[in-house]
Amino acid sequence: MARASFNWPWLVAAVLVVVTGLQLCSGALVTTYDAAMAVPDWPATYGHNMFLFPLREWLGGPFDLMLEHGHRLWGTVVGMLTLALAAVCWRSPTKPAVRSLAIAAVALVVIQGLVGGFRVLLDSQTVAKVHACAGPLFFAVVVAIAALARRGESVAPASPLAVRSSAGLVVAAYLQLVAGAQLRHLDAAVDPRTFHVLVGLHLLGAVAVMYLGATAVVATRTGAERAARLWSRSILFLVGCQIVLGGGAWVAKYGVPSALLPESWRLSQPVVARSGAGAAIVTGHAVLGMLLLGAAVALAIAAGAFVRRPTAAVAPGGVGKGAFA
Amino acid sequence: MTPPAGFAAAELSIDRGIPAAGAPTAGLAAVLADAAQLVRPKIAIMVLATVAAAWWLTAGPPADAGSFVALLVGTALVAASSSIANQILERRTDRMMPRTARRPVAAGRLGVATAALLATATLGAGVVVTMRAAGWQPAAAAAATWLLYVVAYTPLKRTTPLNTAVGAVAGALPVAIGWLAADGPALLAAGDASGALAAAALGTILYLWQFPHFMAIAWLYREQYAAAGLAMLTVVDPTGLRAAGQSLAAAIAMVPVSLVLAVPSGSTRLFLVAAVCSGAYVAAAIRFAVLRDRPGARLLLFTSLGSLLGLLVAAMTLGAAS
Repeated sequence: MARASFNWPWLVAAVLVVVTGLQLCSGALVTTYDAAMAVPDWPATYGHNMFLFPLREWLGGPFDLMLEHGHRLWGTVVGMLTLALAAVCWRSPTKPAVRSLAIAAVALVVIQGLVGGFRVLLDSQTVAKVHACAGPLFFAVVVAIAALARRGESVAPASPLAVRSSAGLVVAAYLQLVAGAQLRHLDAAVDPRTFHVLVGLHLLGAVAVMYLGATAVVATRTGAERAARLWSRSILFLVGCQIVLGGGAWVAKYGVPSALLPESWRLSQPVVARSGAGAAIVTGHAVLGMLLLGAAVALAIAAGAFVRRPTAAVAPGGVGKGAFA
Repeated sequence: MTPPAGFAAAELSIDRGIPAAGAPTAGLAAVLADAAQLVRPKIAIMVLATVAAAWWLTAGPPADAGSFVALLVGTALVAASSSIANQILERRTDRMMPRTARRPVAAGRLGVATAALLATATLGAGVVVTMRAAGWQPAAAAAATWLLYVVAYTPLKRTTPLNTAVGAVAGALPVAIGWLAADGPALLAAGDASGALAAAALGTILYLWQFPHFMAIAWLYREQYAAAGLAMLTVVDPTGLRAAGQSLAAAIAMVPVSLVLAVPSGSTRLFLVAAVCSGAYVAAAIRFAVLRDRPGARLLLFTSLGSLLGLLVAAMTLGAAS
């Protein structure tokens, strides 16, 4: 009996998920501490080759320098692993979707590296927003690769409602991150109306994510795979945490809305986002949003969103063979 | 000049209202119908929109409207020439596909020699008009696009599915015409990199955008392409898996690039519009990848047109250089 070959694409993708998750955390910390310009050149670090920058100056230097340089170095690890993943997917007998996503991951990691560099060279908040939106997209792609590479061939699609709500959740979670990035990288001279619109969009997005998450839980209660049930419930839990963190992040950045408090209770200095607790809350809110996106992708795949439904397989014009994922 | 892979959606409607080969048609109407098939005006309009968007992003609304219009006229002439040359080179395969069999050259209503004369005249006129309007650099870019499309892409369609990757370059090059015509290099040399950044983003968007767009068309007409012996990806791989994969990868990669469009202006609204347009494109690409059926391909095709139109309009209105 032939022994099944080891699932290398899954292993490398799973490692990459963890490594990327850490990179997202470090990126979020860089934003929280406004450390992006702590190293003002790129790709060099204060004139040194990035990899040869003295360890003592890195770890013994200012906190923001440590964060930014660490973020860059860890980014190269993400890039190398992404190339390894693409190579493994190319050489392994894996699913077409996995290969396609691996190519997309390589493209994204290259773009993300360049965008990160230009964020420094141009010292631009808008480039920082692009960087903040491309990171979670890359994470979502890597999670999709890991989930698809792991999944067996026998997955049956859950109910159409489960598929739709989980797919909608992916879209809503990503758009939430886009809106969140606008608020995280706010221009000091922003028009108040724009700020209010952005906050409104972010709150509206939160309602959409809550609704879709709850719908996914209901839709996967029966007839769905165990993984889909677990992911949907985890997402609902994460959404609950995210709401609490979102409120906390607002207080840490802008203080408690003044109108709600008696005068004596009002904070004299509401911006405490860079205190230990404030940074943890603000950064946690950003990171949890990205994790929510990853979980939504995993749920969509577990619910069979990438699987051709039996009725569609014989639809006119369809080929009816060769599942994509 | 004409983007080979891109904008071909306009061809979907080309058969409507066009009389069958050899059918008796009278006078001016028949000539106009043939002319429309020959130069494919919808495709030319999309090319001109690209040139205009690149100009807007580089230098804002043109100060000299006359030169700007002349640039568009020159570009349109080169685009028309490339379309005619393409139809001369592909007349045999065009005859084998119902979608293209009624084109004037393929159907024999226009002789090859006459068509070649038209192609040469429009190319020459287009290059000259472009040069007089905007200088030799945009004219050279237009000529290079023509060459890439006619000399490289068109023959490659018969030999390798990699033709899309080559043709997509020709589809993205009109951005260079607009950037060069708007004095992009001079602005860059003066230290203003915002126009160059926006043009580079727009060119990359157009390159990536063409993969899902063209794969959708190649899927819809795969039987015709196979009958004509063209090496499209959907012919080489009839399951559509490779076409779906390329579509998905390109659509995903397009997301961050489209967000870069907002960088020079710093416009939050442009950023959000770009996120929504490119996100919708990814969603349609995923749907096509999963289903690989005609409705999925049609949705991807129309989403491609809508998303590009949305991006171009938003870039010109919200992201124009001041």
